[in-house]
Amino acid sequence: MGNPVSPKSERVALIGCGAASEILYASALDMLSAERVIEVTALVDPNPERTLAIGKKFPLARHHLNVDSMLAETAPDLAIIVSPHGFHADLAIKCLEKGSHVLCEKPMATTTVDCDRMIDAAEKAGCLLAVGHFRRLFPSSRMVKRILDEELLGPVRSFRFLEGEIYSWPAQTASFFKRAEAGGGVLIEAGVHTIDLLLWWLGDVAQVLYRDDSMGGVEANCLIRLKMISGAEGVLQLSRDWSLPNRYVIECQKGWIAYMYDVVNRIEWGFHDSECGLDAEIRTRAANNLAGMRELGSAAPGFTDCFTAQLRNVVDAIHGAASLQVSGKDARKGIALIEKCYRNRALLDMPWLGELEMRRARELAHG
Amino acid sequence: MADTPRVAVVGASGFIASRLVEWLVLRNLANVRPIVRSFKGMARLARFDLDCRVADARDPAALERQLKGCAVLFLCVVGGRDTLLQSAEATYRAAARAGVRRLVYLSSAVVHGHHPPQGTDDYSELVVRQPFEYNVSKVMAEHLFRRIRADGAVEVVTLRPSIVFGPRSNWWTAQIATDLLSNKAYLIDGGAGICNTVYVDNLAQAMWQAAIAEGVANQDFIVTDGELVTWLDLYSAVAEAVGVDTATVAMINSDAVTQLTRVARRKELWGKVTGNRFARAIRELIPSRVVETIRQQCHSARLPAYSSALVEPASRGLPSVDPEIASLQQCQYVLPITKAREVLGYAPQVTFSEGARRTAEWLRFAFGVAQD
Repeated sequence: MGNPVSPKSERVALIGCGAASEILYASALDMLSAERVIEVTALVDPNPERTLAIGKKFPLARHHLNVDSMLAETAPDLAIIVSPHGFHADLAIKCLEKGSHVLCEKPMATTTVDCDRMIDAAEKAGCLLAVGHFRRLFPSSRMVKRILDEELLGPVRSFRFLEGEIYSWPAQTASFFKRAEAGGGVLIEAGVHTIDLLLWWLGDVAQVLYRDDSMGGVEANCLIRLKMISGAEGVLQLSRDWSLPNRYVIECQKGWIAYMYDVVNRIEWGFHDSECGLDAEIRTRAANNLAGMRELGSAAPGFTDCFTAQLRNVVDAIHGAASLQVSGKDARKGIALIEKCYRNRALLDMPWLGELEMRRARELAHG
Repeated sequence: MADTPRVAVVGASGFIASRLVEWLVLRNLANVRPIVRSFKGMARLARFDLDCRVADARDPAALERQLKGCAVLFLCVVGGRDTLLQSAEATYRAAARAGVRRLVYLSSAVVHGHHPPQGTDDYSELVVRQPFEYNVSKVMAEHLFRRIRADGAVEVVTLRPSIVFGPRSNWWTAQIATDLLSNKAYLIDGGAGICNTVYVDNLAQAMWQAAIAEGVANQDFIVTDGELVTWLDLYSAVAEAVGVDTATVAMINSDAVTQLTRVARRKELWGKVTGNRFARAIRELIPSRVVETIRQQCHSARLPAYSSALVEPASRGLPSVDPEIASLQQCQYVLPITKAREVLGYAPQVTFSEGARRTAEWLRFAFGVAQD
């Protein structure tokens, strides 16, 4: 027997033991296990080497090759789905139908049909369905949201989000690069986070034009032109092929604000009529000092803290002590936009290719 | 695609290899099987619906399994000396066992040194003694191939491209753009040195010719654009693409290069001293006055008084000079491609100016300035 577990600990199953589980979830779950908030009781992956790798941190967890085997034994309180994208919906629905709450890694699913099936299953079972858009918990993204919601710089006029790097995620399978399993390329993999923030900050989309460089496979680059219902217009460029500036700049009536990709504690902003701007570090609010004056305290939560916070939020929501930060219904909006992009896709202009190549590229792109 | 040969591209995720894959697919010339070291290497290649495989190029058994059914293999692995030599031997052995007919090996023109003497050609003896590790490794890999190909199990064709530029080139395109934009670029002797460029598409064409040409087994070929291109030409093309005035680039007299590279090495040494925890601990034990003296020694540009005039414009200050780049920029010889033209049937299709135009189009996209 291991250490006694508090009755409040939620029994957690980690479904899919690839790179995201190893790099992100394992340490967060380990921390919450040490605090007796959760207990990892099951690890599921078709590759036993992967469950063994993750299992080093969770010696009491049972190992399973598939979800059916796990559910036949016991349904966890919380199932965390970290499998290849195309399996998210079916795995989540199986767990929900057995009464498990679900935290699904992004993207929630590869189609809105699957999103709706998941939402319906959660409602029928009376279980929670959360989605891992943990960047909404970054102090920087929350600060941007607040500044925009309060219109401190006036209404949004335009925006430009450029995000990209040469692909370096230590994928354990080829699933990210097969449309049937991933649902697409850079747009649905990395871009689903960006789209989630964009919709959260700027509201719903009125018009979208989408181009990418998929030529029979999945895209490594894409360019999206958007017109929001608010009237703001902008561009989103994503790449897993090349490094881009990794800045999201939003131009408002009186000034501008910049969020730097995965910079958790800093934003930049300024007024249009000022030559200078603010490089703003985000820190916690401290109690007034001895003179009774406001001061800032320590650094605001970091990347790992935010990742762990999303798990805490789901557990708190299970206990009825909080509402979900990102529910399935919230996340569905991003999938709907991505689906619309893919449905209306055109081949990216690539003027660095010759005419003959572009002709063949168009043939390959449109099947 | 049924009638096209099946070819494997080993080390397929890199700049040249990924363009080769794209070039072959978009011309419908071959049934391409890219082979990468790990799954993440598939990201760029996955734009196409290809039979992409994973194998370590240093592991002959793993490689053999992935090479079955391929008539031709392009070896484009990049890395340090061990990687180059191990992958060369392993790939040759695997190709032989898998029944591959021809192996096209991507070597480099640096096997002739950075300053090849007049008359250098494809048949010249390779320059073994060179100051740069990469160059020596490439020479060793060619020597290794000459030794192992003697058994005749697989035909080996070696290509020696020079300064390969174009979309997705880091060293000779994106890095130059970054240096220009951050005021770190420099040109030796006004950029008058010979650049010996090869636009990446021309190299892809040479690689394809090396795969299909008859009577070229176990031969070596220099590959360039076949034009007289200077370093100023290359930097000017990139500068125009990213909106930088070439007049602002530091021009360094070659007489100052030795001194400047010494300064660069000292700065690198200081970086190591300050970046290493153990070295920092030792530093704590040394009186701060002494540490400051060492720091000044490392950072001061110890150029002779007269040489301040060797860097122009003077307001530009002393750039940090990379010894390899400075050395390359002092080349005075146009490498010949006569043999490649005559024996391989190589005929560069993209002129330098057209290559520069295409590169500029990509740079504007990749640097995020192409949307409007």
